[in-house]
Amino acid sequence: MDALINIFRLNNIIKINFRVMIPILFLCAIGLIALKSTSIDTLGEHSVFYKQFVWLFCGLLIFIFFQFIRNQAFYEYAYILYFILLLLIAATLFMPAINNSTRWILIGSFQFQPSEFGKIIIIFALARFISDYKDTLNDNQLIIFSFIIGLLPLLLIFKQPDYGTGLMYLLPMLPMLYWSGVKFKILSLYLFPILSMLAAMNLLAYYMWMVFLIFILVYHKFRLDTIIFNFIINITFGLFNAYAWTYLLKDYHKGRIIDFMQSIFNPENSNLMGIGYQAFQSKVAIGSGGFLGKGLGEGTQSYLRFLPIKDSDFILSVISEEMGLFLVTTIVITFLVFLYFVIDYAQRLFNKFYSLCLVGFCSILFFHIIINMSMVSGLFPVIGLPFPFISYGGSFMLSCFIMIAIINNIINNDL
Amino acid sequence: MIIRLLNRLNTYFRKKALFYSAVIIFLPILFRFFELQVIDYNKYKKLAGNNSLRAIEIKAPRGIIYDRDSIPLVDNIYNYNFEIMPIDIIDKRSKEIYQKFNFALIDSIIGINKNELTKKIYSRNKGIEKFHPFIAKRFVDFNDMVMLKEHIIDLPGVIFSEIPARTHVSDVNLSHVLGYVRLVDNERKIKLNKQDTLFQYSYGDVYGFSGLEKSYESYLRGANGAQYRLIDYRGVDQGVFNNKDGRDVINGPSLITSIDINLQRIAENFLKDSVGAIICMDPTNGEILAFASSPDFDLKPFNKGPVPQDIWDTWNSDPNNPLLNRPISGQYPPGSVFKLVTASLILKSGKEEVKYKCDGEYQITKDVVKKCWNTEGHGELNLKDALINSCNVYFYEAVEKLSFDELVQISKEFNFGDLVGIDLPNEKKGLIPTRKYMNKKYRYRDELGVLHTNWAVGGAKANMGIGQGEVLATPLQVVNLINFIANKGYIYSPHLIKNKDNVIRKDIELSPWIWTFLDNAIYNAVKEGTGKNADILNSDAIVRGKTGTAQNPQGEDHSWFAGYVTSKKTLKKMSLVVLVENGGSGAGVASNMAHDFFEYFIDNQD
Repeated sequence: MDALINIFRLNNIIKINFRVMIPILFLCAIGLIALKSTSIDTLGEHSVFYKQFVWLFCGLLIFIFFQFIRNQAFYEYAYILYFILLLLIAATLFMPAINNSTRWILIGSFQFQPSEFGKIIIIFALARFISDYKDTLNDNQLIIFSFIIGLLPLLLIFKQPDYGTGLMYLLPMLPMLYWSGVKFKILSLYLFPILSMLAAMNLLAYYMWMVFLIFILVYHKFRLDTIIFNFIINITFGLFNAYAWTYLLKDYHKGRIIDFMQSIFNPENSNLMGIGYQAFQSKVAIGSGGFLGKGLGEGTQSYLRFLPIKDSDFILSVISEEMGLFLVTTIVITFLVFLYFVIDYAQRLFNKFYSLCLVGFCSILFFHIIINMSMVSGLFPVIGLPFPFISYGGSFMLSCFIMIAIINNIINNDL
Repeated sequence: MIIRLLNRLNTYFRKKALFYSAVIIFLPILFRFFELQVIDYNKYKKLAGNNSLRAIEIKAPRGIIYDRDSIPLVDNIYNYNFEIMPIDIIDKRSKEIYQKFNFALIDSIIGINKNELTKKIYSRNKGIEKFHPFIAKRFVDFNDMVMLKEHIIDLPGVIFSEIPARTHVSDVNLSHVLGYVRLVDNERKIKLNKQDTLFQYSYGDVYGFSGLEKSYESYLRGANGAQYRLIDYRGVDQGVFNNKDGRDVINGPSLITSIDINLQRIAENFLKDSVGAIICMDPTNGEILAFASSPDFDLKPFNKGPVPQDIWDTWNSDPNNPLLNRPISGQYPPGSVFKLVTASLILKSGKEEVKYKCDGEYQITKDVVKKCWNTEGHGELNLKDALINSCNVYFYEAVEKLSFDELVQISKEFNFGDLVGIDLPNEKKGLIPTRKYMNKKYRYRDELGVLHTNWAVGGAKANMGIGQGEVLATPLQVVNLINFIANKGYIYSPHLIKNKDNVIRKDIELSPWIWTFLDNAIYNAVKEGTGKNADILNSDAIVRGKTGTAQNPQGEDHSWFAGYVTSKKTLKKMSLVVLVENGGSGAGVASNMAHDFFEYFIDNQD
């Protein structure tokens, strides 16, 4: 009982940090406007616009709730939460599949996607681990152990399969490790194999990358055995990609990747109505928007149902079509303002855990945004990551609000 | 202190590095947007088509319904909807309908008033609706459509969409089997779309509302296709833009029913002048060969949109209720046919040789006297003779010796009082009075305040033994009873689809000799008993059957015949139930009809 009371700090006075919150509220407002325009044909309670209000209200309640939590509790319970997360994600594998994937825990009509909230928990676990062991472990050990922390849930999530979310368990690690003081030189050694995997999709690119890799390794004056070992690892990972292609990827992933490659290298003959249909229609919608857009409610592409799932993952193409490059740039700048302030606060925090949490949350939002933007503009295969605060509802919107609530709480109470 | 300061310096550098790398990562993505929206703007603008490329939905035709020999019963016919796309009919500069739009032509050919149409167009010219063609007139003839199409240059924004409609091509009615379709409304659309995620319903689609159209809705329905049509800057439809970008229509697969159109025709002819029901089945697999309900209604008015109110009113006000699906929803006292169920219980308890004397009437209590149909009496009878002569007195006496609960139990096993499980909607359960039901219905207090619950004394139990009183059954349940006897102990649940997979089999655990006894009893009932009229003079056929004369408080007795015929040559069987409401004795009209069916069946065995 005492432990439970310890989690809360009920006498807290809610303060809102406007530097952080105004950009977020701005993004929410843009999302609402865009959904208003996509949902003209379904009025009333069924409209997405109305439902988004409900989601935002839920977000607000969550925000208030988290202001009463003592932040130190996140540190204390980080590992416990982490294990609960592992159990929950493992439990989803035994749930009935929806659309061929078992991401959800179903209790009656209630759906719950643990991997979505796991994005937050993984930040806690990493932040605690790094802040605890930064001084006792060397950089290599730190990176490897952090990697393992992220990898355990990731493997379970890949089994579901949900590659988009899985990616979010590994990517935030890089800024966090860097922020904790790991040398970039060492961190980059661990990044190279990923680049090798990507490069291995094309044989020529693979050769060129290998030559370039040797050059970098030599330039950075690593020890000879490190260079050789790293080089072998990189070649293996390149081969692993070919293995992954044959045995690990599902057909629709292959389809998407092939479509994507085709649309880059051979845009004239790409299969417009196939799996690449979404990406193509999204590109047309964005391109036809121009600098200032067609005006609210005038987006013919998204209107005429050319554009599927326009409310969630592809909301940005609706915005681009109706409000143009101008608003897209504004959105990016808004996010950068938010990013700048939060990193600034992170630097001023003396508590390493809090500081790492702030960076971790920022990087999750950041990676969502860049992947979503690349996805809708055809730079990246469609993997189904929504745009924070703008895309329509879902567990992701709630977890975004949790992140913002914790950031706000940390800045107000622990700075 | 110094460490903290150094730490701050370090993090200060890292802060800058993180922030700038974020900015740098954003740059190529923003450049990509710049490339799409500014550099390639014109290309994508053209692709987006400035409203010139339209996705138009093409309605999928529903599956054709055939009889068992692939003679079409329900087919599709193309009708044309006269539709208008508001965005195309409105001049983009003046925001008014094009001056050249030829209202007079439309008025003269399909008779839509100019003012009416203008009002409609302006009311649709807003929000999302202006991009959707709206239907100005449904079911335009082919000739009118062609005439208007010749002047299409004067009619910007006009679209003719082909819509498949149902047409009933055979000479049999089959109204209750085939059923009809209705247009989806918004509420229905939401409800249906949740069930079926593969094929979504959209504006103007139909769904099966009754009969097979309803039961096999998800099977019969195809998937709508999409067509990309090029609309030029004047708003005139220039035809399909690019075939490969469309989505092909998936036609609904055809449905082969088990109906034999010839038997069906006979059934409908017989019942033409009377009220009743006929079901013909193949007992060996549960396929229904003919299914007639009389009077029935004409399905043809359903083919052109909603049925006019006056036709509905005639149907609803008809005292004979043509909308009632009698074979499965009509509930009647089964009469003597039900004696077969009682007999199976007598046989089970081994009392078939016990004789009772019938002298024309039977005194249940001092006030209640029940009569046999033969008021002169049948004399001494055992079970077999009682079945052959359909003696009521025998059964009154025999039932008194039986347990009421066991009688209820065995009736339920024969599927009385429960759904048989046919693949048509609105099947009724009938009624088997249980002890609980009877107690509830017949408990009363007399003037002295004494509670009477002994309903069995009033003859209710005896009544049940001969299928009268509380017992109600649908014709389907009666033919099901015959199927049990024909198959000697099991049935396949009745269905209307030929060669259906996964037909449910139901068994009743009784000794084989009981089935043989019942089988012989109904054989003799036709040969020498009440069912004589149903027998046919053909050495290839063995006819078995049982008549029923169900007393009916509302009027004349209902006439029943239930039985089956076996062809000696092919060993094929056909079971049959005939019910004629107020038809008098079962030995009369119903048996006569059965006779003709059996004869047709045997004559058509090759």
